[in-house]
Amino acid sequence: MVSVLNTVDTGHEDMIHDAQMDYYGVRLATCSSDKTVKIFDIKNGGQILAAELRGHEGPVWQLAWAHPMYGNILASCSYDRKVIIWKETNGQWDRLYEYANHDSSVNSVCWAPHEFGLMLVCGSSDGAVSIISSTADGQWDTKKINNAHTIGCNAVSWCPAVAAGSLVDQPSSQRPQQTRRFVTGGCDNLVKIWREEDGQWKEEQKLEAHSDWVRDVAWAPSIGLPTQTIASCSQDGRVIIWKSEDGTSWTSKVLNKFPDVVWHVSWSITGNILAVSGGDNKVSLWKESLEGQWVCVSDVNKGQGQTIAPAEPQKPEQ
Amino acid sequence: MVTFCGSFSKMAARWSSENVVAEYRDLQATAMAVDCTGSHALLAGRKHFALVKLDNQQPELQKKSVRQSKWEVSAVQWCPHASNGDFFVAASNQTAEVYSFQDSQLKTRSVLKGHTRVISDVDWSMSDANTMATCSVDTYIYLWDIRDPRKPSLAYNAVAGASQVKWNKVNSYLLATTHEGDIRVWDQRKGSTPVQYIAAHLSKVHGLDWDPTSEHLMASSSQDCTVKFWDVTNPKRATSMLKSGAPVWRARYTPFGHGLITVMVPQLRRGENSLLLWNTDNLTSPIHTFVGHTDVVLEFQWRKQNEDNADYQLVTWSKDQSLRIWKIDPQLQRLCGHTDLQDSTEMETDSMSETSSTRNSIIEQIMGGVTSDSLDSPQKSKDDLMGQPETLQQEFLLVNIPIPNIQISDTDMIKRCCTVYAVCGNHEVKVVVTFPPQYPNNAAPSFQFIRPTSITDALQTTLLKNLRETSLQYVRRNHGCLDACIRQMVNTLDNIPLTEDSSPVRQTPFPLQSMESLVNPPLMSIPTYGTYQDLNVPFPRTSGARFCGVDKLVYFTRPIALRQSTCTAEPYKLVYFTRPSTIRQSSITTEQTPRSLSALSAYMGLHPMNMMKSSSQSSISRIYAGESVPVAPLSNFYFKEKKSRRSGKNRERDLNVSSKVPHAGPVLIQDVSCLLPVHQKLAETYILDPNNIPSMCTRNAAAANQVGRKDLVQVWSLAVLALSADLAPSSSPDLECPWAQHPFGRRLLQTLLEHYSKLCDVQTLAMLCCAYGAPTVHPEGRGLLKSSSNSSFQSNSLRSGSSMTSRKSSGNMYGSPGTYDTDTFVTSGWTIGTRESGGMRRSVSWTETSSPDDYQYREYVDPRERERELHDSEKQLLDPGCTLLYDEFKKAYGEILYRWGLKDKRADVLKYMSVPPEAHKGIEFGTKCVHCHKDVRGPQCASCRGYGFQCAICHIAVKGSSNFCLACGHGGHSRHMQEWFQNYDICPTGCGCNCPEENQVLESL
Repeated sequence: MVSVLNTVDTGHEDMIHDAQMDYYGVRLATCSSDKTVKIFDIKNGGQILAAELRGHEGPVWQLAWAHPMYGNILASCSYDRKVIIWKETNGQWDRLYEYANHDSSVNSVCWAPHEFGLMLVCGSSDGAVSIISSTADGQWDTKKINNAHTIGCNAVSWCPAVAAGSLVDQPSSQRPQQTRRFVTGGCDNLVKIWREEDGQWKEEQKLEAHSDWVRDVAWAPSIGLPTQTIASCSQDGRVIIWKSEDGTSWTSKVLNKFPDVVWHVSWSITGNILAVSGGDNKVSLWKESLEGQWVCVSDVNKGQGQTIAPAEPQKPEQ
Repeated sequence: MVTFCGSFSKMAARWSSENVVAEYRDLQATAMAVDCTGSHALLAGRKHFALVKLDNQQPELQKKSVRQSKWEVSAVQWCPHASNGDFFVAASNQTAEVYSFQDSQLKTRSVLKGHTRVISDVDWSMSDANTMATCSVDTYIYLWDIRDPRKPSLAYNAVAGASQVKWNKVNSYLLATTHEGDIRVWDQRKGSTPVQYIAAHLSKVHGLDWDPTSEHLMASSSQDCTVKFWDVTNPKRATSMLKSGAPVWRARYTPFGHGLITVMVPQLRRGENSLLLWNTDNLTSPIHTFVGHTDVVLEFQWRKQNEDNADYQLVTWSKDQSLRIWKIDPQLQRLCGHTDLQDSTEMETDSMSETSSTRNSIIEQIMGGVTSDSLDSPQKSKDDLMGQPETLQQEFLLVNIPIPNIQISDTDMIKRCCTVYAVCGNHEVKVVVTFPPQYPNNAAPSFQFIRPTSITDALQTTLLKNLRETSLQYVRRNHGCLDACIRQMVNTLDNIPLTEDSSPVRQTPFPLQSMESLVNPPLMSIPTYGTYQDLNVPFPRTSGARFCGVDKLVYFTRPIALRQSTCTAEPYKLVYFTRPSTIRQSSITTEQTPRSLSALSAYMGLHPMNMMKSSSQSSISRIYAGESVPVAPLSNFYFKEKKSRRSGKNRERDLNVSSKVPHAGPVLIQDVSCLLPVHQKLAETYILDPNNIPSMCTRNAAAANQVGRKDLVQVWSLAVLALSADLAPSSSPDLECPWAQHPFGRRLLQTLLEHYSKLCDVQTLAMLCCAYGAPTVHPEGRGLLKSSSNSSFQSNSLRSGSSMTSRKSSGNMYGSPGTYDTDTFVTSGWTIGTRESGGMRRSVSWTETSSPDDYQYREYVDPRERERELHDSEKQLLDPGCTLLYDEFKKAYGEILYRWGLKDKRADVLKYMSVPPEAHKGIEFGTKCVHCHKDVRGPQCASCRGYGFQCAICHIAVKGSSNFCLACGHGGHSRHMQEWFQNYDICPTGCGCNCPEENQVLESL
């Protein structure tokens, strides 16, 4: 079944807050409360520290690798209210851009689908969401949605570059217009979907179901099907799956209610498995059956030589 | 039944005060409220709502409504606005319900649900009849519009549970809440973080009340046996403090004068159940005691005063189940500093005269004989002189500031001077204040520092300046200034930075830094970690899992050691253990991981800055490890307790663990490919061979068998049959119904695709789409590679414009020779199929709905051709209407192949895309203006107007047909290129690229 390929001892001096591999799965980036970002070469099960990025003045919360067509680019966000975009040139990692236009901790960063260019969205505890995009001449263009979430924005995730629901009925030969969308979650217990319209970002949807802070949102990758899926998780212990056929009306379904806060949700590349992790230090994988029920398929903590009962697959509330 | 014993009795109080008593024993009411007209009181309990008509003679139970609930009513309040005067809100457990009494019928108006724990307080806005605030132990404060009860209109979050919420009585935007010992002030206009944060009391704050006339003043009562008065603009220090012998349950300002009513929390039923009336200017002893209740006073509220009645009335409800009405006569009002009754409006508008009149009243009471003149001489004009102390002596006596460390001595009426002595930290200040004879008529006193004043000269100068300014402000208006000056002095001294205390200031006469720090108070360096500013910063994730690549799962958790030593969620309890009273209230939340980062501050106790200062100390680790507790003694206590509960063996292990706790756990990378519907092995062995479809399907079936995908073996076996050459449709529409229309044709395929869509098996989806389709050949792309005369500068619009005709011919021209009629498969390209289906679906209306340009040419298609096109689309196995969807499958699968590093396989799949893959655009992107380095889309650079590309041979800008090497990007006029490559193999620019060979490699793909 599920096997551990590699165990990387990061040597961070404090708690790790995020770990991500690059597009090809040959490098691992980690970030920690010790204010550093570390990049490891993990080819063939090895672990070589390739770089240690210092520059943040506070705990680093989240990372994001850009698509390799733009080079080796990594974005990091921190408690120090900054977003730093790092780039590797000839094996040397340097700061490519630093964005410091938030008034509070920046909690989440996410690169747009590569079709949209080098574009990053970040969510901050000051309630604002920033969209940073690279222009052709190496400049950076920034847009800010103020008060996107009252109290604060905790998570951002891009919609894949497929026009929702328009694939089948396209009447003419033109490629469907690719709408740019992303989803955010915040301390107002809301999940919001934003859409770009004439260069302006507008709130398209407001999804209400959580009863406490939304801690993470994840837009499922597309394999081409017209259904759009978003997963959100919250302090209230619920993981909710949002689905939409047409991109405008969304239905929610509670995947499970966990006993503790759920911090993170992540979709597999085929969009049918969801990894859920939270305050109870457990990770569980969930899969939708053909009947539309979500079932816990695996508890990956087994790999650590520690047996934890599977995260009791209670019957979903709805 | 209702036992009713309205008695009318004389109070055995210190002063006579009539009251009305009514008992309602069966109501078991826990909350009481008086409505805005003062005519009714509402008693609310678990079982009943009762409306009592307040009457000066006898309260009368007017209406009793049964309310069956297992929850007590925690708070009830009438709407203070006449427009909604019959509305009241009652909070019980997690909901607040708005009711109205209309025609003596109780009606539910709205139910406000949102809190997840018990609502502790409700408060109706002073400015808006439809707005109210609720607060709860769930740490939220919600503002509601009662017309839209679905969700709060505004939400504030505090880390600690809230016990009181009170709107400011002057500024409609402000509201204050209490959280344990703290007070937070929120401004609706200023975001979701508190505008002020007051660490008010050492123990829980029970009650809070804003001053009815001043925007900035409030009083808080606490378990720590004090009532503190605050100016919220100066949260560091209370302006004054009332010390009570017992914990104070409520303290509220009187609507008149400077009075304050307090209620104690009785200790073990032995305490005072009385209400005390104070004058806030003299907090040493109460003015009046309302004796009567035999048990705790649960609630007291003021009745609106009748115009014909000079008395204020206080309505109280006690646990002894009696309702009492107390009259506050003018005599008592005067004691509270209330001016005469006729000018109450004036009092509110002119705070100055109010304060002065307050003084006057005190004089009346305290100084008796001295001021009897003023009382006995009503001919004196009131507004001017009555508020003023007549003499300096009066003023001296009036200076009664309950500020510790301040002492006024040596008051000398003859020399007209006094000495003020203040102690503040290490500093002593002694000032002689001398009053000129004209004082206070526009003549300010002089101030002189005398020994043992220990503050620096610089500070003395500042202080002196402040004192002069303050005194001048007052004497200009002929007011006494001593009181104000002393307060000013205390404020200034309070602002001396604490750091100075430790430095030996007394020895150094001119410590420069002290002055600097006075001017620039030390700012907190920006990132303060875990303080109240982090209220809205989410608590950090310390574990997480993320899918990466195709089939990897990266996850990290807290170090195992930490996990073991702290069990499941126990470490978080730490956060709450610094405040024991919370535990009792919120035993549920303690089980949960905190929500906000500010929870760390409670844990880190007095050192919220630790985190930022030293990198070696890792506070997040510490919160989990919980062993190296730095300061908070209570957490230490908790840990001792926790350990003693454990077995000795465990304890040893815990201690061992704590000595070397790794700060970060390992990051694990797991292979989860077994869970995914896509297989790398399959991807490697799958083949696409448009020249021999049956053998391709057979081989793919074998590949599926190898990885154990039995279902796919069947799918490919079916494909062998369905794609048999015998079934190839004839090109004529007249012969027979095409195979695709057979149930085993398109419908079977569609069912298969639907099934694998549900499984998200993009691999099978894409492969089926490829197998049942055919690679599309793009004439322009081919032309480019073949170095024929095709301009790479051809714009997109040009291409699509010409594609219609060229595509049609392409079927015949480039169709690969096969065992069956490939024509059909090749023409399954997007153009015809899509259009056809579009037309079919919109059978009648397509001409109107579609853009005219799109279909224009179809208008003059003769019927035979139309029939043929229809046939062309019908004979395809893949539904032409879904071509774009199938393209997406291929694209998504191509992406996965790319991540696996199977670039050849990806290219194979993408050849089947109906729309040219993005990669072809590369040629167009590739041209960059040599002058301004911008991407050029045409022959001419849009920004600098220079020609984008120069021929490598003649160095003239290329406008017409051209050729480029795909590898090095060099090229030029087609004719020049052709000539060059007849003789040479390498690029004319000398870049070393072997262009013909490179392009052959690319072409062979």
